[in-house]
Amino acid sequence: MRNYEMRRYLLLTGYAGMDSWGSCATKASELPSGFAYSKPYELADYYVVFVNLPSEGRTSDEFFEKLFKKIGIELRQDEVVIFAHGAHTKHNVGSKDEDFYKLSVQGDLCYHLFATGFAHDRQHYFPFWLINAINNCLQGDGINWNSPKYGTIPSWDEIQVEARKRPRGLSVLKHRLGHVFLSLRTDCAGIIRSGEHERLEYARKVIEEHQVEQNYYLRLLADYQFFVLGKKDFELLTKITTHCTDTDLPDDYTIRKLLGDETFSWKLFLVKQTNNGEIDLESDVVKFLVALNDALEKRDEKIMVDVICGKKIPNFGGEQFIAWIRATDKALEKTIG
Amino acid sequence: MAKAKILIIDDLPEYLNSLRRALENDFEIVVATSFDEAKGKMSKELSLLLVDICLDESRPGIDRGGIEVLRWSKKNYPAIPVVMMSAYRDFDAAVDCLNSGAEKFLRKPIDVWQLKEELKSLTKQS
Repeated sequence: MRNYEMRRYLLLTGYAGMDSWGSCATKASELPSGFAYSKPYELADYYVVFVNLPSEGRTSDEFFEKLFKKIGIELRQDEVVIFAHGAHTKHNVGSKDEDFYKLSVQGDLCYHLFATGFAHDRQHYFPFWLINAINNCLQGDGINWNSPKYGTIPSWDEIQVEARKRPRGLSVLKHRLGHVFLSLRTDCAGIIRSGEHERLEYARKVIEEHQVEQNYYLRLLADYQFFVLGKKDFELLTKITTHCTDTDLPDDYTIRKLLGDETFSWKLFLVKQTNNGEIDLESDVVKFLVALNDALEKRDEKIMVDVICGKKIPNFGGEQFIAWIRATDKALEKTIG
Repeated sequence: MAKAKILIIDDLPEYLNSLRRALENDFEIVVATSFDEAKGKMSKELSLLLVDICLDESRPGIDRGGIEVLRWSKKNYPAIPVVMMSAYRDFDAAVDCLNSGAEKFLRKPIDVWQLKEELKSLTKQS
């Protein structure tokens, strides 16, 4: 019996109209079949296959199983990397993680869900750079990688490493959530560690900066809730509106979606366990922010210092607030990396 | 003794203000929110630069404008130490910074007291 010769396949999945996809889409439409996929194109020591999805196309594990069969991929023997457009609620075209669970345990497969609209930069956003480069290097019946613009042909190792990187959207979300209280955290540490006599002056400067915005600390809470739940407003004394917009939620992710309802740490992220989710007004963190907001509205540095030094909310002050931020950061790091 | 003069470059004005409050008792703080603004504030009088890697908050994890600042500064003001900071756990960026001459790479959020000590040590203040 002849030994099976292992092959390496790179699958690129996009949809008609996707930026930098024109030539790939054309190649994927040349085969007369129900599936819009191209023949395998040889590049270095692997093959590239283009898969073109219809405008409403969502993939599934079954979709990929059938596709592998048609292409001739033996998942138990071949190595497969898939860069697929990630489907999300605003643009439900492409793939989701669950499409790959079953396949990932069957063989040597790794996948990466990419988002469009980012820079075509090899170092900073490899998946979209790769699609753009290959799209521009498709000529005649091959991939003519001769432009110095694209540098060296990506090696199979590089492709595998990049595919295993977590989707960028998740770390962007963590980054944005972390920035909501970044200044407050610094002010808390500054006031706590200042000498007794310097604290009031420190707090006065904080008030001077933030007094121009009504309900500044409650708005931070509204921004925070937005990243956690995706809700725009919340009722708290008065209706507070976040400064964030839908475009601040990368790839439509929220913290709740990211962690999933089953593992969602309701209490840690200040959310009450209800179907709609809402900020838990009884939590110490919320009480702390409400008290700070009160100090700001009254322009009272003495109250602000007392709140931050733990003299207003029982057993809770700036130190505990910083510890809470560390705990949420750790929880996200565990999931996102 | 005159305070050491530090230029902090970050595109988040609120964060710049909070760092200024935390550090201004010990240092003379100058701030800039972009590379262009920073260029205008560069001088040989500076004792240190503190630079965020990402200078375009709409492109976190992609923009690395801060590394451009670092390279420009090392070319034009090689004697001024540069401390880089980032909210991302990005090994490649850290290596890039150190290879480009940065004295330190710190991850946000930064403990302001630890930062103060680092800055004192790098500007030779006791």
